[in-house]
Amino acid sequence: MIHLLFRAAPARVRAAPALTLLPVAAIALGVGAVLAIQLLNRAALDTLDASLEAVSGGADFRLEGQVLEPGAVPDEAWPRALAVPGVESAAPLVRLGSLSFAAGEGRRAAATAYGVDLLSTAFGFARPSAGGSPAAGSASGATPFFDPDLFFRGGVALPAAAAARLGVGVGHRVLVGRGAEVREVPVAGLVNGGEAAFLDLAYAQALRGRAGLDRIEFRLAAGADREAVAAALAERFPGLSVGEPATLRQEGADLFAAFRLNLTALAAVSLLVAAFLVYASVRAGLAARRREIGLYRALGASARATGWMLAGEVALSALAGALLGAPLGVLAARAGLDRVSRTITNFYLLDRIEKVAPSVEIVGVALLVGVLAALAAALPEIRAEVRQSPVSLLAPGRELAGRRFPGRRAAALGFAFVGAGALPLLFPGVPLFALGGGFPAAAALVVGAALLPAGALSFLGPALSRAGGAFGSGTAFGRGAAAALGEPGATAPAAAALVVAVTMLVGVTGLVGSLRRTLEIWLDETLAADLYVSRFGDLGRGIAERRQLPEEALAVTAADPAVAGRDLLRGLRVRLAGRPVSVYGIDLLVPRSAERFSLLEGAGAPMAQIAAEGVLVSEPLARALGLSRGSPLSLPTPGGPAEATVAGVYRDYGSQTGALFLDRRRLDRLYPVAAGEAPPVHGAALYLRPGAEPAAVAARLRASLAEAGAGSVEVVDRRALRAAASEVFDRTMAVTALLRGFALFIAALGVGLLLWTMARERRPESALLRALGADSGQVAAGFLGRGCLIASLGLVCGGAAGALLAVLLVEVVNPAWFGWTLELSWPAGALASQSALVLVAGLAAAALPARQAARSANAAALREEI
Amino acid sequence: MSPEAVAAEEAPPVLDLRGVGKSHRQADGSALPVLSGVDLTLRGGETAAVFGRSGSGKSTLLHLAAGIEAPSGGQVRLAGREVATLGDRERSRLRGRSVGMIFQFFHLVPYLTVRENLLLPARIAGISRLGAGEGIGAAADRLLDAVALRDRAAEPARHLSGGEMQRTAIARALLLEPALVLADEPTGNLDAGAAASVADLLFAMTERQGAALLLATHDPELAARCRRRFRLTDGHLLPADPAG
Repeated sequence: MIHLLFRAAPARVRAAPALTLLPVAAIALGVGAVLAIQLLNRAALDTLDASLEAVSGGADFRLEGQVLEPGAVPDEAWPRALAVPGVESAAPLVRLGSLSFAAGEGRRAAATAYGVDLLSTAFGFARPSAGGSPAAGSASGATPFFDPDLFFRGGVALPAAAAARLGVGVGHRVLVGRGAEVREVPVAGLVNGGEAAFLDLAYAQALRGRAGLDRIEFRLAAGADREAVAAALAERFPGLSVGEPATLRQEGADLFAAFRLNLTALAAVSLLVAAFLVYASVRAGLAARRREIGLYRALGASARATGWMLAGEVALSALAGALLGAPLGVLAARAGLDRVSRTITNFYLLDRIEKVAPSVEIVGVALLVGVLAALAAALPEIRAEVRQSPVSLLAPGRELAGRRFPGRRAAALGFAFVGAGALPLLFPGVPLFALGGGFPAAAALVVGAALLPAGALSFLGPALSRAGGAFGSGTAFGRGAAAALGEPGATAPAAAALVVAVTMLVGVTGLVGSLRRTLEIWLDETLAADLYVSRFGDLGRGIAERRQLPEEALAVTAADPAVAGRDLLRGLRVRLAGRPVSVYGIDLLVPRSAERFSLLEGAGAPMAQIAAEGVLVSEPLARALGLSRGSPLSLPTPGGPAEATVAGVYRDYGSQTGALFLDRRRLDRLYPVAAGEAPPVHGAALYLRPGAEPAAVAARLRASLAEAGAGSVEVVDRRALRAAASEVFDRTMAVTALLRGFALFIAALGVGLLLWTMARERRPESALLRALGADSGQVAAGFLGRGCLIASLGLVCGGAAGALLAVLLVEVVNPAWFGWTLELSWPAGALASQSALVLVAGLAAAALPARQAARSANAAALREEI
Repeated sequence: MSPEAVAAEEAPPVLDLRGVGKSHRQADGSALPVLSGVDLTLRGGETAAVFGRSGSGKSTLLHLAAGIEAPSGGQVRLAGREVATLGDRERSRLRGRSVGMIFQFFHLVPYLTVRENLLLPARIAGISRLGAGEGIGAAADRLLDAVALRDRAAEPARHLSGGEMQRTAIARALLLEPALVLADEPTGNLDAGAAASVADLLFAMTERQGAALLLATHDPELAARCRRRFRLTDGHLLPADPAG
């Protein structure tokens, strides 16, 4: 039978190319969606790994600042750490971030650069790459290829792969870019493996323009007591944090697990829709080939062998689809990289994701998932088909009748699943029902929704068919719709694919609409100032990406006569209970200061009291750490823990890891800067005198700033800031729109495929109608009627399930996973336009099959028999 | 009785039906008897025709003989093996090797070529050589010559006329040199000219291979060409006069 499979497959493709290729396309899209998301998730984790990687060649502990700022570990900590008993080695490190390198003829490369101490860091130096010709050092290759003199004089040790791309070797000079600053440096060595470049520690500090280390990596002496060493380090450096790389990675990965899970769930829906499409196409294909299967059985093929052959066909097309989907997924991941990177950077305070790196492992898993999904969808149908008696399969006319559709059983299962999905809403206090943060309930809801069309057709089909007959039997369109109601076995699977897509569409649209509405309310409540000043491009960015305002900007805003008050913002990141948290200092005592927060707890508390000893914490942080008004909170500072009291909890949709506000003067005291330096200011909110026109003042300030040489600073009014925040939100949600589009497209393909196979399969029937006097328009209208009914069924069932899903996402999933309280809001415009889109997609999907049915209904079709 | 007939009488039966009955379940749950107490033995080289009106159970009898339908009662022995004792895989294997089937509606796979259709039983059984050592491809070509379709061997089956389709089906049924050929209304879908040529081919080729032939037909002329003739009446298989 395997022989027959491979012999017959090409002929089958030639005989029915669309029937074969459409499920291939669906699996390609499904696998593409899954792969794109997995690659992005992987890239995010790789970024996390890169920030945690042990540059010293393996570390047992890391010592870093509680304040996540460059240079947070004082230089003198290094020799002091080496003196701790049980420490074998300590490697200091400065992380410069991504540097770009350039050589002649436009050759470029990028690498994450570190400043290291050569003697305490383990390297594997490489022989020169093929493109580079050494100008210094040993060319024999027997010894490490490295020139210490060049290194100590500011040379860079490049990753061997980057050097190959640049076509340089040791002794050559390359241009190094860091932001807008470009220098020429010599190549001091080539490093094997990895993608990190290294400079001498002192030179890196000079390049960054500040003293201090970012971390120290430790290795324990043989036989040393791990816990005792950790305790000794913690005691010696109270303002610093001691961590194990594996723990730090787990904490980091846990932080954005919800984000990754959300994306994965959305991608899985695309795959689920594709699986329904495979189910529908296999069912239609089996119906069309029923007598062929009967023939194989009659000629001596066992049920099992026939089943294996048919499953092999499905596996082959799924594999072809998956292979096509792989490059699609990589392209989609690259296209979505910037958006996902921005979201992760803003929400989770991680570094930017620089690149997507497809690996054999991830691509292999995506391919496997695609093939398994297709087989899982196809096998029940194949099994049921081949187990029928050959006599029944060979009987003429049976392909139109189809097998009995288990509608009532499917309906019962569907209602049970939907009911299970609704449990967390019906019984909000029962933890069991909200298990897994509501995700299992959401999955049950989507699976149940897919079975709803079977229920609708089983219970309401006859009545609807009668009603339809009464109103629409006079038209071919109405008769087509009524026929679709009478054939649940053909209609339900196509509608199921559409229902899953519509459920997801409505559910996520409801969620996004609620998020947007909540964001608007939040912005309206909290944007109290008249003008906002920041560096160009920093509006809407998290503190990890914001740059400080130049002194000239502060002077210009202070000098303007229309400015009645200024609220200056300073931000930094700290590690609080294992999570990076933004700490903001603002002037809590300026007039209207209370208006800047939408407080869930602590409304009415006097600002003076908060300024003295309190902090305001964001809702996600309060949920994560179990904080409420009055809770004590220990803030990590360079001088050791500082005690504070939670004075209130405010709504915050800007960060998931959490944020807190305190008075800026207090922040400056707790987190002092180097002597002689002014504390940085990352933004300013300006309150204007009564009667001052914000637009006019903004224009004047812009002119003054340009004159003062601070042209990189922007001044925007409240409306512009609101628009910028909305834009960031839309950009963040764009990836969900992409995935929703994917799912809808696959579902439309499914409807089209089913109607196409139906049109093909029913050529004799259509030809008979033509012979009895029907014109081609009437034949086509019948298929359009079917398409319209399927789309309507998808819309009604999917709309109902999607509404439930939206409530579940807003009420259960989001508070549990993201810590956000949302206002449930239905974006009527978006939902109406999407409903129209679904109907149009259904009709568009039906148009081609309808045309085909009308055109192929000729005399030859009347004689068609195998 | 000729010496060949005596020898045939002494050969083991290819098909042996003993008291075979078959009922179909109706929509109201009651059983509708189709065949009852059927006894029939066929040996290699014998030809037998079953005729009767539509719905009399002719096709059902052939399906039981092929082992693709299970009897409600009685015993079906095919090539010396009791069919009811075999699992699906064994039964399918026995059918593939021992039975050649010809259908009224030809049942060719439309997208496969004539030659590929002919080779289907060998592909399914995984056979590349026949008992005499002849390669399966050469056997297919020989049969294509015999049914005069060699020049159309590479064409998809859907391009053939009805007569050509049935000739292909006959060649397919005989490819693996089965002991029993079952033909269900083999000329029922053909015009008189095509029917005569297909019938000539069917009898000549089964005789050449020494296979037993059991055919179901409405056509008295076709039935008359068989050595043994039976009529199905009220589910009973009765010997029939060739004149009807």
